[in-house]
Amino acid sequence: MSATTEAEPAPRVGTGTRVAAALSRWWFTPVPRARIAAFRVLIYAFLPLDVLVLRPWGAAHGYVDADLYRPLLIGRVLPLPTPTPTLVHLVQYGAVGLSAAIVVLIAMNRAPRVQTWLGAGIFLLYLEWMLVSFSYGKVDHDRFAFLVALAVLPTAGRAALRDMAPSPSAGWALRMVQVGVVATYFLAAIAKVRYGGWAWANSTTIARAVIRRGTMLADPLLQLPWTLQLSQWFILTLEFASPALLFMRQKFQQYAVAFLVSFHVVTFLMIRIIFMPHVVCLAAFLPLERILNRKTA
Amino acid sequence: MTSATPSPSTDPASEITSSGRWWRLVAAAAVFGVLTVGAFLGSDDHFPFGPFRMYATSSQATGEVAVVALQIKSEGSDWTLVRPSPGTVGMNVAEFEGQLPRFEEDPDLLAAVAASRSALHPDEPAWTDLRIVRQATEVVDKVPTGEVVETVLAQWSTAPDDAETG
Repeated sequence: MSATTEAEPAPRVGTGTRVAAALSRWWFTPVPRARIAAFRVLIYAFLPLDVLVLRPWGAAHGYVDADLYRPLLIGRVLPLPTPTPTLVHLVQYGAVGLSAAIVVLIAMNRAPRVQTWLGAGIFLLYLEWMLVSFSYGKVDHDRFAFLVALAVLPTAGRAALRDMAPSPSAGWALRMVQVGVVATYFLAAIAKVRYGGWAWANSTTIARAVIRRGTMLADPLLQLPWTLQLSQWFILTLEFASPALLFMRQKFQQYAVAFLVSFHVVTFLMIRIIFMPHVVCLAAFLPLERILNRKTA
Repeated sequence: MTSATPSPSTDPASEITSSGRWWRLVAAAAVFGVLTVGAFLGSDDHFPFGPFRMYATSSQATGEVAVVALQIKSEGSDWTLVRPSPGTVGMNVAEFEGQLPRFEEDPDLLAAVAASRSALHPDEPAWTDLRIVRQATEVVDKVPTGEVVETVLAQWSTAPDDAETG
C-alpha cells in the first residue's frame, strides 16, 4: 500500500482473485466436526419442542375451512394440497419422529447416510409445516435462520460428537446459519425503514405491542413513553449493527450472543414475544464442541 | 485452536472438492441474494424470502390501537365474545386481521369460520350468527385513555332475515 519500495515484490494477483480467495476462506473456515454434530443435536432436539409445544398452531389449520386457505406463492406454484387434519398431523408427527431418530443416530454415531436423508426429509416436512402455518392470513418472520439450518445441516457430511477434526463443509454450514441470523436482524431493520419509515424509531409501535400483549413488567412503561421510544432506537441500532457479529473474534462473539439472548429474554418478559427458533440458531456462533470435549493440555 | 488453513495432508477427508465449494458459494449467494431483494421488493407471499416486517409499521402518538375479536350466537344464546385462537376457530387474531379485507368484502365468508368451529368442536352447539368486531383503544400522546370503541366490521347469520342491531 505505501509508496516506499518493498524488498519483497508483491505477487501479481488481481484484486478480484484475492477477494474471491478471501471470501472462499471466510465461507469455508474449518470448524471441528464435533461442533456441527452438537449443533445438529441442538436443532433436531429443539424441533419437536417447536412443533408440538411452542408453535403447534399449524395443526389447527387442518380443521379450518378451505375457503380460508390462502396459499403462499410456493404453495400455489408446486401446488401443495389444501391442509386437512390427516395432512397436518402427518407433517407434524413426521417431522417430530424423524428428528427423534436422527438425534439417536448422531448420539450413537451411526449410519451417516441415513442421517443425511433424514435431515433432508426433516427440512422438507418443516418447510411444509411452515407453509401450512402461514397460509391463513399471517406470515411470521422469526425462523429464517432455523430454516437455513435445517437446509444446510444435511450437507456437512459425517460428524461425531467427539470428532475434533476440522471440516470446511461444517464451517460453511455454520457460516450459513450465522449469516441467516444476522440477515434476520439486519433485514428486519431494513423492513422497518421500508414500511415504517425512519419515523419508526419515534413511533408508538412498541406501545401498541404493550397495549396488546404487555406483561406486568411492561405495562407501567406505558406511562413513561420515552422509555419505549428509547428502546425502539436501541433495537434499530442493534439490528443495523448486527453484521459486526460475523467478523468478531470468537470470544467477543460469545459475549455478543449472551447479550442478544438476554435482549430476547427481556423482550419476552415485556411483551411475551420470543423468537425461539432464531434464538437457538445463535448457538451457531458458539464453540459447542467444548461441551463434550474438554481441552487436554 | 486456530488451524487457519485446512491442509489436505492433516485430514484429507475433511477437504471438499472444488465443485463442492462452488455449489456452496453459489447457494449462499442465491439464498442471501434473493432474501435481500425480497426485503426491498418482496411481500409475505414470497415466504421464506419476503421482508422481515414483524413490528415494522409506525403508528401515531395519538390515535387508536385496535384488535379484532369475534362475537357469536348459537341456538338460543345471546351475543358472546370469542377471542380468535387456534383452539376456538383454528385461526388467531393476526390471521383474522390478515384476511379482514376479505371478510369486509364478503361477510358470508364468516360461514367458513362457523364451519371451522364445528370441525374443531363437533360436540358443541353450532354457531348460528357470527360477526367480526374491531375494538379500538384510544391513545393520546402515546398513553392509552382506557376508552374502548367497538365497531362491527362484518356480520353473518344462518337466518337471513335477522334484524341488524348496533
